[in-house]
Amino acid sequence: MDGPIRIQGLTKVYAGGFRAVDNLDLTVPKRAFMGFLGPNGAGKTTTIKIATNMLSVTSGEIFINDISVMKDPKTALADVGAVVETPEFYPYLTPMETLQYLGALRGMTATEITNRGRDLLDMVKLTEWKEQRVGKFSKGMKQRLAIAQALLPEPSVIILDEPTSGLDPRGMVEVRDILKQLHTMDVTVLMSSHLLNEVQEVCTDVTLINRGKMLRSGSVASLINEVQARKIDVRTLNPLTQDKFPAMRTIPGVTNFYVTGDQSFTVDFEGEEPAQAALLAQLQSMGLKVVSFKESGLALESLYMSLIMDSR
Amino acid sequence: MESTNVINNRQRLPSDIVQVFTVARYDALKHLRSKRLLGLLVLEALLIGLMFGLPIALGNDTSDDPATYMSGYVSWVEILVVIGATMFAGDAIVSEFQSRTGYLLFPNPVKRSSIFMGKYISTLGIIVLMLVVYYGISAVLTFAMTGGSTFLWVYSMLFAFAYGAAAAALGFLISAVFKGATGSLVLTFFTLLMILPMIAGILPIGEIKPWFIVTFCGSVISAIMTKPYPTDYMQSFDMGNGDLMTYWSYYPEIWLSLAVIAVYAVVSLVLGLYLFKRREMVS
Repeated sequence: MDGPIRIQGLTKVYAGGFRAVDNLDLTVPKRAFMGFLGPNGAGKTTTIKIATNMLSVTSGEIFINDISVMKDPKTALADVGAVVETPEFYPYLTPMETLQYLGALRGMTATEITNRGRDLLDMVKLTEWKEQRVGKFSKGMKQRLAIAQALLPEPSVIILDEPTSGLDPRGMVEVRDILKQLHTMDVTVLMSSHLLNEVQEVCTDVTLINRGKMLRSGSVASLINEVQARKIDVRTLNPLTQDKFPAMRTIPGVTNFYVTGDQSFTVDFEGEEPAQAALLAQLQSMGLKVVSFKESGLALESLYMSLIMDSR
Repeated sequence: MESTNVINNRQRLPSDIVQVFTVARYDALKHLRSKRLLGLLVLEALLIGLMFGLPIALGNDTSDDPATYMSGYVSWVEILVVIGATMFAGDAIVSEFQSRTGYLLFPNPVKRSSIFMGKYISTLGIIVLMLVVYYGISAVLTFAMTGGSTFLWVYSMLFAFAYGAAAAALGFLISAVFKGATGSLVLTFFTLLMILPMIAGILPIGEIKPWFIVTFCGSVISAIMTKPYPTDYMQSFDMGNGDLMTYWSYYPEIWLSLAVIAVYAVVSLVLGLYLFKRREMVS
């Protein structure tokens, strides 16, 4: 399959013999927002650093828009915007000067950078800080600026390495909101993360890796559908009392349930969407006044955990 | 089929040379906005103030000869170059890794060689600026005090530029090797101010002229202010038991020293660039 990002037989062995990436093959389809999932040390960041010319490769190759990053990194990265780890900025530059510097390196004109920079700083909510030097910025602000600089040249390929890592909850929400906006753009995104809910929320596709090897790759929807075990969070107006427990146990697909609050409980459930609809109807017929009924973002976690365990 | 943006982004990529000067421009901004440059200018002001004011305050006579008068100011230039090279080159490369700014710069479509040379050019520019300010003020004060001038200071300044280029290149090499900025800064400073001068000071005991030591070559900066240009001579010291110890005072030859400085600059730059290109951005 052809795609803007193609990884072929990638292997990286660090000095000391640690094999961080092991013969990895991966293609990111055009316009996909691919989550690159794996536990710490799985090889996500190493792969991304090789793709962005920050690490050398032991063997294999990465192609971006059909240009080898190993052979011609300058041309290959011309159409790539990247945020790797949490980059630090030059503290003596303002956000706009930072964009002017990086834009000039890409051959953008001053007018182009100013206009695009203004829009991007607005998008990442840094307009009022555009004349302040970056040295005083919080980590969340720097991460937002990092995303702005990645979008500056309007690249067709965006590579993000754990963009919400180390941010406080508010910062994570702000960055995720920006990431969601990427769906409206004509871009292909490869984003590493170890936050399953983030991948499920933001990505269209996902690749699971562990110990440098790919475990599974596909669309988020198809992988979630593979998972039979689901968790469903339910909130009701009236509590789930003990007299209803026997009825709960008889509902088809319910493997377990536990009360999480006065008016909420979680159901471990096995079944597809029609079975979920039947579950909701059953709960209502039991006299429970359901306010909300939603699958928690843990389906991917189940698959992730089972694949990780299998790969050990 | 590639999109218009892909083609546009590739086509507008500047040449390596243009990128070198872009890096140099923004790196120079770092120096110009830094406290280091301010500190160095304050140091220059103090030195000039002392050289100018102290003889007047103490009521001492000063030379009427412009070259002799100005040589007092010039005698500090070697140290200023060492301090400048330490401050502006000593952590130029390592800081990209230690401060993690490399994570911002390296994923851009720019070669490591362009980044390296851009930073080097900006460092050279700042050292030149620092020297021009120092020599300029010294020349004005020399004219004010002696009523005359000499062209020798221009030669001295040009040689100081060359020495600054070699010292900065050595700083870049050390900076490309070290993992921490502090170690890199300290080693650059002590190499140029103590280690190499000590070797150059010990070699004459064995009657070896240290023509190949860059700091020895740098002493042309001061020596060139002397008319005529000094030549090597031997001194004898009574050891106290009737024995005489001879010690050679060597002076660097101008053109040979310039060639040695050039070799130091080129070798340090080539090695530094090689190490920088191979260096991996690991956490």
